[in-house]
Amino acid sequence: MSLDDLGRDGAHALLREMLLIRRFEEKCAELYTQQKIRGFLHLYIGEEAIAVGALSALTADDNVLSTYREHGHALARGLGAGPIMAEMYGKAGGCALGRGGSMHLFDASRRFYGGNAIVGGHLPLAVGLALADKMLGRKAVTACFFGDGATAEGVFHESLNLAALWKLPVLFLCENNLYAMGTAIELHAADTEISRRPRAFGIPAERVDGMDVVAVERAVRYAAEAAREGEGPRFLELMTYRFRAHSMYDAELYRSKAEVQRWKERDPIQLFERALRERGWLDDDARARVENDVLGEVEAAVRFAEESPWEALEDLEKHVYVRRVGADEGGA
Amino acid sequence: MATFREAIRSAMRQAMREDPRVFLIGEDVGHYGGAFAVSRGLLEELGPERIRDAPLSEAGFTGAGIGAAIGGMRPIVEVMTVNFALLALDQILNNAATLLHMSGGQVSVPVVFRMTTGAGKQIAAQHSHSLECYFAHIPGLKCLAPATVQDARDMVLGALADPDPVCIFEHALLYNLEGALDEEAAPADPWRAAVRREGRDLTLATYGGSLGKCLDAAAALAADGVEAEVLDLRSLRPLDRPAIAASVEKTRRLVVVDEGWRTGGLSAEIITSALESSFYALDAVPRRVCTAEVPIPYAKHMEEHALPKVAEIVAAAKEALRG
Amino acid sequence: MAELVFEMPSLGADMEAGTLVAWRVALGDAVRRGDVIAEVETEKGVIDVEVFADGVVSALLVEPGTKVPVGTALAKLETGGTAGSGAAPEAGSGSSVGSGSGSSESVSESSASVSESVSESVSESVSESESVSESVSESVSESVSESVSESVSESVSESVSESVSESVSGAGARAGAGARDFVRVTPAARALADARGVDLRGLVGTGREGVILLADVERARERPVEATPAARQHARERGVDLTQVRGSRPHGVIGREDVARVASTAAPSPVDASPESRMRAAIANAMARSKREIPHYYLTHTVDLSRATVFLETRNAGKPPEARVLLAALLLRSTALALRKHPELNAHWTEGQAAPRESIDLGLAISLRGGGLVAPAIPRTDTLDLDALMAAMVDVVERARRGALRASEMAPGSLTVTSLGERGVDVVVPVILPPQVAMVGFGTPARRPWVVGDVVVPRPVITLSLAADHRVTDGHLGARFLARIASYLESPETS
Ligand SMILES: Cc1ncc(C[n+]2csc(CCOP(=O)(O)OP(=O)(O)O)c2C)c(N)n1
Ligand SMILES: [Mg+2]
Repeated sequence: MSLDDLGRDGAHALLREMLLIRRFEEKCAELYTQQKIRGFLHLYIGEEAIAVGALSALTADDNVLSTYREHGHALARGLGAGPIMAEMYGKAGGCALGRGGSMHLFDASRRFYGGNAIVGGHLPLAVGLALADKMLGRKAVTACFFGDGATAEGVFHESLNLAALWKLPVLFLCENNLYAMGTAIELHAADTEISRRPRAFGIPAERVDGMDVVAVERAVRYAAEAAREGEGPRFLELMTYRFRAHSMYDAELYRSKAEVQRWKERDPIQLFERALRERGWLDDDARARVENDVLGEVEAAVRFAEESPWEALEDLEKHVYVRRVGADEGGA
Repeated sequence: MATFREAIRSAMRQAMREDPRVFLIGEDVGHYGGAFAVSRGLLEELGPERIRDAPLSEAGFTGAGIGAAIGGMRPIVEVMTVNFALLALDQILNNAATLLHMSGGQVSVPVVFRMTTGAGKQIAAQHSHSLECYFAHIPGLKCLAPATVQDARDMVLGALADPDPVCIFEHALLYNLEGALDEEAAPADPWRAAVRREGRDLTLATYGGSLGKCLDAAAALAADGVEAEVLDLRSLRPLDRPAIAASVEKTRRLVVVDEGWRTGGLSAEIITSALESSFYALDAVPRRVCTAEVPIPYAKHMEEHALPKVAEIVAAAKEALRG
Repeated sequence: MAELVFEMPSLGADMEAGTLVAWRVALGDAVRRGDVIAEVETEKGVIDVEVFADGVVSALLVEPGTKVPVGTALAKLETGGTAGSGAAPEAGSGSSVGSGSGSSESVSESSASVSESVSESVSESVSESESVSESVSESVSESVSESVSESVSESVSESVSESVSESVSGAGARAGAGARDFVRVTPAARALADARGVDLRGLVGTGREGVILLADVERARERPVEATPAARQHARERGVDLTQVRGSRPHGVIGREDVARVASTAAPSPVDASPESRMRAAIANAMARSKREIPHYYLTHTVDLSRATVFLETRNAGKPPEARVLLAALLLRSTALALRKHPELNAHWTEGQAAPRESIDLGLAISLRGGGLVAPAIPRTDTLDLDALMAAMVDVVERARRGALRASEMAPGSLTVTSLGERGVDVVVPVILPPQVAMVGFGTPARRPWVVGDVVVPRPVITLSLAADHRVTDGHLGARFLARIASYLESPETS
């Protein structure tokens, strides 16, 4: 879809969504240093165009799975900044009742299946979800986000083979940010052009500029349509870059500041903003309104998290079983 | 004084300097400096051949380490956490632990697997579990759990000196632990338990990340006039059963503190061992303080609540004093 | 203008402190949200630290090169009120720091109160058990010892205390011991009780829910029973174990009425509880245990009694019957003297080892007319001359048959001597009485062909036998012991 097809309002919606992710995560970083948020915190800053572009091309019936770097996907999927923030606080109001934290955001009602922190571990789940849809005759697709690093895992290859073999409606969305933690793609991939790999399984694949939200939206929309029509899985290699450390902070011994700076010049939000301004769809006033709107939402999310109660300790062992049986009965 | 992390690094550096067959392989051990910064600086010192960054292929690089060991090398395979080691469990169990026996004694696998274990950093259920017992269950493997800075070094060297596959479980909360480190010392025998505090009233048997909690509990108990003996098991396979028996027969009471889950866990094995050796010496039901039977939750208060706590150890000890 | 304190940030869950490597800003610099203002060294390397507000650096509080804990103030910023809505979150976050730490406090408070209440309840119950041990130690004052132990007559009391304990366990049920129909006792306590023959069912456990602990068994053993002579007498008559009776007199002294109460409230034993059957049960117990636990070895030695016979005839000549010394006394004395030379056989097996005894108090197996057997000890047997020993034997046998033995006599002696002399038995193969470690038997003295020099002559002979515990001694020692008894019998005037 082109900018024209999107229209002014559609474009503003994408901008707002990307900005929300950006501001939300900046707030997270701040809250992390204040120890409000703990554990690992993998920020998506720099990669927002992918989540926003891709999810705007999907329907509510589609399944979405992501990694531990999933705040952006969760926000774009509509989980709500409040429950997401509360989850990061570990509060009862969190979207996983405080049990998951930053890496394990879930919302089954939105078919958002995490938040998975075993690299590559969710790819077979995506295959299974798509299999279920196919067997049940549902016209849904399953979008599965993962990083370049995950493509080295054995289950990556197994999952691609299964999805192709069974012609399942899976969208494999590889966010190639050129690093697996501190290991550059040249050091972890024999062939750094990842989109060549799925072709070995007969899966159509293409490389997309992941910094261009419109390009992402268009590519995902086409891929989803094909998959939905029963043509089997599709694979997109979305080229991107994370601007910040792998997790909250690292010393970034593995890349140069100059390299980071070069990529920041292709900041997806700025690129899009510039395109809108060129088109005359955005002026300073409108930009300030979006900013304030987004900041207000982030603030409200923080308030929601702050005010949310802690999960009661008596409930610690809740949700380990749906139904306890035998001598275990009587528990939650 | 050194940190636990530095002690491991020092041992690896020493081993690699002394023996050209030793190398380190794992995810982010090189350019990143190690997920827990254990190998930081070694890449610059020893080069990318010896400090080998591996792709996200736990089964692959673990298996490669096993193969290299068969081929005459002395690899140290670093797996980021024991949770991820499950992806390599097939290699560790079906190859490393099995080949010697299956080949009628022909193929030995002198490889060292180092991995982080344990909770306490709020990194939730896919990064926090203590799965030592999965590995300690396997004949053919040896399992070590250092709890002190000196042991962090000595066990790496001890494991490298061993002709069999050895797993070393490093509790994530210990890396910043500071303590005395003698880098010249001949490494202590890693296969023996150590009494970290003498006592006559009960035995607190533990290992790895729970040692500190047990020592704190022992100090609290001492204030109440109870002398707890703290036994650091050190080796989880083989277990130093005579040491367990000796301590229990002296104190007649046993409390096992294990960050693993209770059901089917190491604590069960340790207690059974004590019952088999020393049933008639016992003056109390053996007790255990383990992690609650839940996947480790993220929120701090829930995570803390799920893990063994000093107050729980003290309470279990006092219970044990009453039979 | 508001002031904002910039603190050493927490850059990882495991970061406790960081070293300030360098300031990237100087005093008076204007900074914007997101600017890197410092470099901090952590375990993972040097990390750029950003600031989350716009402002002007008004103070740098820490020198580069300093290691400070997370949360330490590093710098101060003057923040203007001009940043618009961007500044609002800062103010909000300022207050949220407060409220956040408040809520985390409340978490730790609640966990503190949990641990408090745990330790309270623990210390309460500890002090409870303290008071129990106090009252016990109070009652430990006199050393009149009533034995609760392994000799035959001791275990006679077992069946009685069994029924006593039934009422005790009733109390236990109220105390929460539950409806368990077994005694809750730790393995260590059970092992000691077994070794010492302490009846667990009669003990009051001081452990949780009444569990009997090792210390309870030790105490039961040590606890001297203070009872009036009448109470002791009555207890003997009724077969009541005094250690199981609570004294109602001052200082817990047991009176006759206490014994009577126990004797009458004791529920009838499920089986026949006559004294005879009780004794039978006790013998059964002791003998079964002996055969189960003691690895016996047996030796026999046949001795020529000619000199002994002559010696006794000479000694008894012209004396009234009651002043005469019988062969039995000579046998006993020879045994006592031989035991002096072989103290290894004068021991009790307790807690897995042989405990040597000081004095030589030979037990004398006495069969009772109504059936059954007792083995009272004759105190310091080796110090008694033949006349005194004879008198002691007559006395103890007479009282045994009357059921009037003293408690001290019922404590297990050194070793027991049995003689089936009048029954025509050639050789006795004894069964050791636990916890003793040996037993000596004498067969019937009889005239037998005996080789003297190269000729066979009729001689009065007797066969001595020894059963001894192989855990304690070996056959070699046993043989020497028997030979020594024989040598005393062969030259009785020297003994
Ligand atoms: C099985 C497994 N191995 C190792 C890790 C540790 N780890 C977490 S993220 C990561 C790098 C993943 O890189 P990539 O797939 O490119 O995703 P990115 O973080 O770049 O988004 C690693 C090694 C893990 N979580 N799971
Ligand atoms: Mg990546």
